[in-house]
Amino acid sequence: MTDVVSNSTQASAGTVAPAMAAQDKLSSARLSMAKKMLLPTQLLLVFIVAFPLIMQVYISLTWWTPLDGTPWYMAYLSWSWFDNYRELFLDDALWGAIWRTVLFVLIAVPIQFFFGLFLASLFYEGIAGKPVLYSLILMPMMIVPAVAGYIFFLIFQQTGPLNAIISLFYEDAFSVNWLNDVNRAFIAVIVADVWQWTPLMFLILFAGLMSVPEDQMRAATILGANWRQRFFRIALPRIKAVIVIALALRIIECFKIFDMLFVMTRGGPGVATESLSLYLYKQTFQSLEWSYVAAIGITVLIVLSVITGVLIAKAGKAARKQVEEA
Amino acid sequence: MSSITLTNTTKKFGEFTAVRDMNLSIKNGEFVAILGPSGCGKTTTMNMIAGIEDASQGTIHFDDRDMTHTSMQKRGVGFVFQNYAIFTHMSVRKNLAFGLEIQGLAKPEVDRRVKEMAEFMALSHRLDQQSSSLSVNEMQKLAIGRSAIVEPSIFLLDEPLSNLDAAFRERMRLELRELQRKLGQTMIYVTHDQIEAMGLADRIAVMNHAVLQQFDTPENIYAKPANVFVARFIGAPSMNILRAHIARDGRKVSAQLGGLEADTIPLDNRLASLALQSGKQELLFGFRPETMRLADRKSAKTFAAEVSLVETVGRRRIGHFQSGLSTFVGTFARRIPLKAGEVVNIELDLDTCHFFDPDTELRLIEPEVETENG
Amino acid sequence: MPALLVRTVIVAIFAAIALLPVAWMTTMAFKPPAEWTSAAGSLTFFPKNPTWANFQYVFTGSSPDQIVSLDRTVWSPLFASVLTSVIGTLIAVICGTIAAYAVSREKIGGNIGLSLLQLRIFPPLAVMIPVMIMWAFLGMTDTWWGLSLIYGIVTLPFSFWLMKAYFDELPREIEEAAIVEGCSPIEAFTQITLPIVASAVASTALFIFILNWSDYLIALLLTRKDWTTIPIYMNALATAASGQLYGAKAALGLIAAIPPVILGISIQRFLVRGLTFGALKQ
Repeated sequence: MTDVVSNSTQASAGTVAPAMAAQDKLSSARLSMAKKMLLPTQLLLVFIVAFPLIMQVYISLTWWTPLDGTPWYMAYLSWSWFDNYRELFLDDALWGAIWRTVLFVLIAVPIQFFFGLFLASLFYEGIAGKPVLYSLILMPMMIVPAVAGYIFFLIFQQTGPLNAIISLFYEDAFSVNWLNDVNRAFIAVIVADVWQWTPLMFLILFAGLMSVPEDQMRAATILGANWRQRFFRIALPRIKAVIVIALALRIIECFKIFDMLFVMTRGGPGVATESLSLYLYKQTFQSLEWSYVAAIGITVLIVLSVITGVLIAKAGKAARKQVEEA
Repeated sequence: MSSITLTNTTKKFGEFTAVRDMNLSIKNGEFVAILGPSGCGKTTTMNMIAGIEDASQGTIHFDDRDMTHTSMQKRGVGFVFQNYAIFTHMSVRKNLAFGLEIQGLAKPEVDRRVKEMAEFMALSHRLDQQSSSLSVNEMQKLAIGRSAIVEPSIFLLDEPLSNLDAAFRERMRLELRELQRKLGQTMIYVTHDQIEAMGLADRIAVMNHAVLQQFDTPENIYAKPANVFVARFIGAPSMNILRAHIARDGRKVSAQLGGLEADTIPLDNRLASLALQSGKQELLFGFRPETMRLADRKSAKTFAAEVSLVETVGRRRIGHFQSGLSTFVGTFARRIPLKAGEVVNIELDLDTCHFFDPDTELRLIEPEVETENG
Repeated sequence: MPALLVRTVIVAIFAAIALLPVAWMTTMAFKPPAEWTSAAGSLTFFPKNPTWANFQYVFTGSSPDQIVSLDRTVWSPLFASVLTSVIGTLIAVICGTIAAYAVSREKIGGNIGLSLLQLRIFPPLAVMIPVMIMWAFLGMTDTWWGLSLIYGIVTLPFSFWLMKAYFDELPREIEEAAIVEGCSPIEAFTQITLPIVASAVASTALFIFILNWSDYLIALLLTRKDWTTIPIYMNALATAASGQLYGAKAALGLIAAIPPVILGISIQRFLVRGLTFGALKQ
């Protein structure tokens, strides 16, 4: 690489003067190459975003379902205007699923955040056997989510290891069916999600802490700040942007949660663990009301676009500020 | 205010010894510079005093309190980092107040002292700005102010002036001196710049290869260097140190530079007795470039040398000389005429010349009592 | 150093919690049916009578422990998982890398980056209806190319943003020098720039492979039988005749879990970058 750089300075120094016209030709050549390079991605986006979006809006304005026997482009035969949209506002099952999803996010993400931050701070202060423990702590997030769901399905069985362990501390055998009880099933899926995704919080927050300049932490120590004061007054404020990114990532992913729930409970018992994604899945494959699902999808799209638009703008601002401070 | 005593203090990083067997005792209220080339262990020494590094062996006392194993949080020292370590996510005011708030002082008291320090450091107009917007010079002041505001008994500065532009460095040097006088703190200052050390410090600790070479006043460091390293390290251009053969002819003792009879320098009583007491035939003879004089004519006190090169630096003229097997350097006022190729007669001020032992590289020292009598 | 010890012990407890569930599945994979649940007695962590029967069952379709033989062994889902993950990764990395280069160097493409990011933000089920219709319409449902293509598209945001971050860090002058010396713009990209970012491309590819391999939902929606992937196959394994096949499913879970864990640990230093779309560096 050093070779390339040193050549470049020599070469460009020698050819500055006669190169103006060639420069124009060159930059237009580069521009046309760049346009060609962008083409595959643009085509894929048209194929998977633009075209389906139009299709989804179209279908959402009809009563079409695959049971009709008519192909999708004939959906106009059952044109319904905004009936699907009107219906979704009155759909208690939908709002229940949304509420459960939000509740799930509000419980799981903060727990992941605090465990992750706690672990990151322990690693930051220094522990023995760091590389090994680091890899072990990260392992859950590398497990295929559907497999993680199965693991916790095993653990929470009535005849599974969790009850066996709890039984050791009871006189009688402890025999609870975790996944068949409304509240316990909700706790179980949160435990599984926390297990799998605390490592991600830890990973990102630890990377953030490692970027805090060591001399600033030392300077604070020498000024008499104890561990807690250093952490809350120096380290945390300095990684604000990192915290925002970590939380945003987890909130988005957690809001989409499907695999683990589907494997562990299929949304059950009843609808106790039915997230928005699971509700949409059931509507798609059990009720087959595809036009209704399309309408919900469009609504979710609009709401999330607004929310993420605001958040991305804010995160961008925070990141810029962080860069300026550094 | 505290005195600082390092006793047999050693710091090892694995196999590497950063500081070896350091004995240093710094008086209460003293301004000490630790001077040496990079990698000599000076920053490690200071880090051990601050508690950033633990000493591997030996002890560190502040007054008569053993601080060897006290954490840096509890040592009560002020420390100015080379890169200043400003809390850039806070305002200037918050930076200054940090140490006081940690101590749990009441808000009015904190405000008062912040205001006072800001005035002293000429940062008042910046108080409510984000500290990341400060210039390097202002950051430097803020770093010093932030440490000074908690009135530590010991103040440590790690190359604090090395990032500043030349003009500001000059001013900051004076302000540091002023600050130290005002607060009366014991201040330790790490630098690789001998001019800074010579100009600022009450005493200088010169280090090389993890070992303390000499700890003395700037005058003594210059005039009575403990060994060849200190002699060469202090002063620019550095001291000429040449091999010399000691010749004795009756009562007259002389040094023959490079062992050549032609370059014979007759020695005075002091140097003669030093040379004879050493019992060695070969010694290292040292003289500073600035103590050289060009004689009008050849005499018993002079020796001849050819001028090989002349440089003019500011108001000084630096001559490079060749004499027999030896080369050396001399500095003169600019008005002294000096031409390359010319042969001149050189006379040395023998009072400022030194002998060094070629094996130990230590300077030969006259035994006090005997010279008084003799 | 008692504080160091306390911290290490706490972290070790967390590490044990991270490890134990996976370890439970691992030992389960080597247990005979009698040890799968506490129904037939007490549970033990280590198998009392360790056996390869679970692996034998999923790989060959029959085992001494099972009466019903499998009509479909793990080989075809394994092949489907590998093939679609690899092709999906290739699509994402190739398209993403060249698009990132174009955007990084010529600042064209408008909001393409943001559109890609939004592709990751929306719940797939909210936008899958038209995709399922299209896939059926174009005959791509339950085919390897249909699944590979959608994998390539949903992981494209990662490759685009990650590679853009790398290209942004790379000074333009490197290519300009090559062009001045007679390279065409294409040659400058393929012979100068690409070799420099080769290791970044490799890390990105491994990261995206893990994502594709870990997918469950998309395969659930767009495959039926021939091209179901390992996670789908695994969770569908419970047959009516034999009840829950805990051990066999654990064996499948292990097979599914091993590649991402190994790859994930090998690109540990890249993970922060990868997960945050290149926004954070470690």
